[in-house]
Amino acid sequence: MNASFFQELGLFDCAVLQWIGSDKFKVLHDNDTWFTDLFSNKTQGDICVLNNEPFFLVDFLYDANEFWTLKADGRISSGIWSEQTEGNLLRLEASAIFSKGNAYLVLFNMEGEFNKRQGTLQSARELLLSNDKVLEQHDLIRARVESLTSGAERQESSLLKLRNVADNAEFGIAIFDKDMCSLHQNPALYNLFEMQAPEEPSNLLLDLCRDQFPELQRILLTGSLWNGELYWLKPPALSRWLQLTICPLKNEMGDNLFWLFLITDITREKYLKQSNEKLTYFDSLTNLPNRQYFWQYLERLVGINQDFYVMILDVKHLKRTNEAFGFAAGDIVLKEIVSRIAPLLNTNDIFSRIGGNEFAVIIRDVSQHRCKLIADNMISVVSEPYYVLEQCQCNVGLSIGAAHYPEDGVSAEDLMKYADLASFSAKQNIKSSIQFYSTDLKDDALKRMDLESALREAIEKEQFELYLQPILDLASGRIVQAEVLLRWDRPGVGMVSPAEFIPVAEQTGLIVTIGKWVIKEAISLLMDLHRQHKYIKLSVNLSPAQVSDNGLLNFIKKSIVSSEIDASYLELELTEGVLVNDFDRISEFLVELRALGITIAIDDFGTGYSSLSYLQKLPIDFLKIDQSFIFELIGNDSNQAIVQAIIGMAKSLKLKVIAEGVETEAQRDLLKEYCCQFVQGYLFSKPLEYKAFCALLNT
Amino acid sequence: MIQKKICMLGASAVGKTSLVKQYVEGIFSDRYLTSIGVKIDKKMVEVDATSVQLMLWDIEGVDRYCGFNAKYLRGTAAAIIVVDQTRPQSLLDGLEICKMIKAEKNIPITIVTNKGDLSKADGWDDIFGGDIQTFISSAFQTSAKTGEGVEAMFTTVAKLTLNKAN
Repeated sequence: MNASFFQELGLFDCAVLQWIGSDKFKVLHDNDTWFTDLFSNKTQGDICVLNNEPFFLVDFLYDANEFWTLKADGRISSGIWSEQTEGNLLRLEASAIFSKGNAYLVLFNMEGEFNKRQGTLQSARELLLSNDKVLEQHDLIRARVESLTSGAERQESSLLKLRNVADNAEFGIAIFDKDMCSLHQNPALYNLFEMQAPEEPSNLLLDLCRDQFPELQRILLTGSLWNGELYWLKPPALSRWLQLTICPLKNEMGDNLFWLFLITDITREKYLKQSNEKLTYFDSLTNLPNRQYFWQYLERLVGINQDFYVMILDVKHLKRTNEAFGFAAGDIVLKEIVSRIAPLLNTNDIFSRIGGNEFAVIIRDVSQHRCKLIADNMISVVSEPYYVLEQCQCNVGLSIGAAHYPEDGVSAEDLMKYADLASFSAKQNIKSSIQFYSTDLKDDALKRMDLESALREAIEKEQFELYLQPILDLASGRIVQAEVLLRWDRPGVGMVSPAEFIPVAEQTGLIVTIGKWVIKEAISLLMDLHRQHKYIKLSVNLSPAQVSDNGLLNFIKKSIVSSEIDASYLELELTEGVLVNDFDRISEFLVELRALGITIAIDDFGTGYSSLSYLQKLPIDFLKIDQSFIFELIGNDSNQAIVQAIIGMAKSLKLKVIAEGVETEAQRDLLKEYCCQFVQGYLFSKPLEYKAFCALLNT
Repeated sequence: MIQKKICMLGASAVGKTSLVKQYVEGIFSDRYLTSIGVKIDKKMVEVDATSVQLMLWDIEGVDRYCGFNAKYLRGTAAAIIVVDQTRPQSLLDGLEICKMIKAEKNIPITIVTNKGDLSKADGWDDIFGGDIQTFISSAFQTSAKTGEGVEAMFTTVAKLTLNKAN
């Protein structure tokens, strides 16, 4: 059977040329329609010279020649190109083939493949454009309303402006207050749900969210931003797909003022997707099953009654990668993550992309121990560096939450909700980690959310108080300074340990607001002390999150100017970690503080990353030796050596030293022997309320 | 006769094919039809009494379905990066393509802000004022729909290929 027989059957449609040297080819097989059209009536047995046209093919011959000179069996392809002949627009692809010592150039007519690919890509690209447009519009309106609420304006005036923006938007907007009571819904939202006042489309919207998104409660409790899709069915025949963005609107104090729900009808895009099933159920970037597929699968699996784990994998620091290298780099990282995780899973497992930086996995019939091993392996492979865009290195991590069927939940909704909660809990760790769902975890999460909400109330109602712990000059025994310590007397609960609430304040960003209150209050105390002619320095702790706040320096400047205090009586304490995180920025920050007259102390010195170079380069005044060295100073040779070394080093760098946590006379005497200048600790005084501290000063 | 290869690059749906069609055939269609692979069109231009045949390589849009293929830059005398002023993301994509071209070849790059007949997206000028200027030899605003700026842009690119832009 010859080649033209196969061609007549439509099995392939190609022309074969054999390379006979230089730019000459012998036609071994041709197609009497398009080939002769392309090569001016050349036919089988003729010699073709390819030295100018077709341009694309002649260009490909550079690659082909290189390949043929290797004399290794194989093939390379040119990719599809379009060639306009006199009568036709041809869709072609060329392959350079080397086989059994001969070099061939094969031209394929790709008309069918071209049309198929164009059909798929046409839908896919229209979808991309629509999706980008919707998200862009949501982002734009979000940025506008965020700018409206970020000022220190009253809530009522912010809401008025918000309503104006919403009423002119082309897509649906619902505004809720912080307790999710509906405040406003724009005309587009009424149109979207085909309702008229006094009906409330926002109530329907909330019901749809509650029914379709188990994570809604967590999003609202943690004040998170969220994007997703909703499906609305109005029997008998009306149904709509909706793109939803939920965003919290906060004022400059970090308080949640409103919730904004932005909704766009994407039914047309969904229809386009349905014209291509692969796009309906698969994520186009990673080729993994998408959220919709995952849900359907999970619901089916729950019905089968077989043990399995649902894991939600949240990619940490992807935003940082996107910001530093662009979204193209983020996409490369996501694809690479998939290629690293996929080999760790069995063919029976399900691996899916359910959100921008979220994956979900179902692993069947494994113990918790085995599930943890798999998760640890995932974390390990994902933590390896990524090289994007000409070898730029970036790193991401994984926070994994896992829930077990049937132990933790028996419905798809519960399993996803619990795995999401566990993943959220894992996210609180700086390092990548896995967290299994448990009722304790749920209780902890609820407790943490309760604490967060109580902290917000504490800020609003000023339930905090400052305590002062004296710092003494060891030589004279006089109180020369005091460290400002924050205390929270929570109504109905009593004193809450800073160790309990400070981490929550740091994780939620509330520390910035609390920190400003502390500085303002410390300055008030200084003013009062000065009125009493008590000229001592007050030392205030700054957390890493506060130092990252660009508004902090201005706030300090303004507070000093308005209070007219002598800034040399204010000291700020930072930990070593803060200094090394972003040296250049911190250096600039400290220089500005020094210019104001404020002194700087390094807190918990000796426990962090100690580098002599930063001590020399930065405007630092005090080192505070960490109390862990002082607690075990007596009888511990290595602690004694460390303390002596710190004091000696500080002396040579002209820095003063404060020893924290001095509790015994033996410790005090040894520190005196080492020529330590200042001491702080329970031996001299515990932290005191302001009145008691003043009384102590007067004794 | 001098032949010059020019590569048309950019994100998908920015109007590369429409610009070529407007320039070569003088026609425009509102219907978006995505390109696959490469299509080469030819056009003769006169540059200071020199006849130049431009070979315009209209290359499939760079996006998540089709990566940048440096192989197509072989022998090219200039590159035209097309961006869509209604979509800021297309400008960011265009900037990435500029960087990839510069990493491969030192050729003149012209950035073409297309769809000038439509409103510019918010924030467009902020992005355009960034480091994109350091990569390009010339910049044009065009509308493949109305033909505004199209002829002038291709003529300037032809001059650039002959080092006669100034």
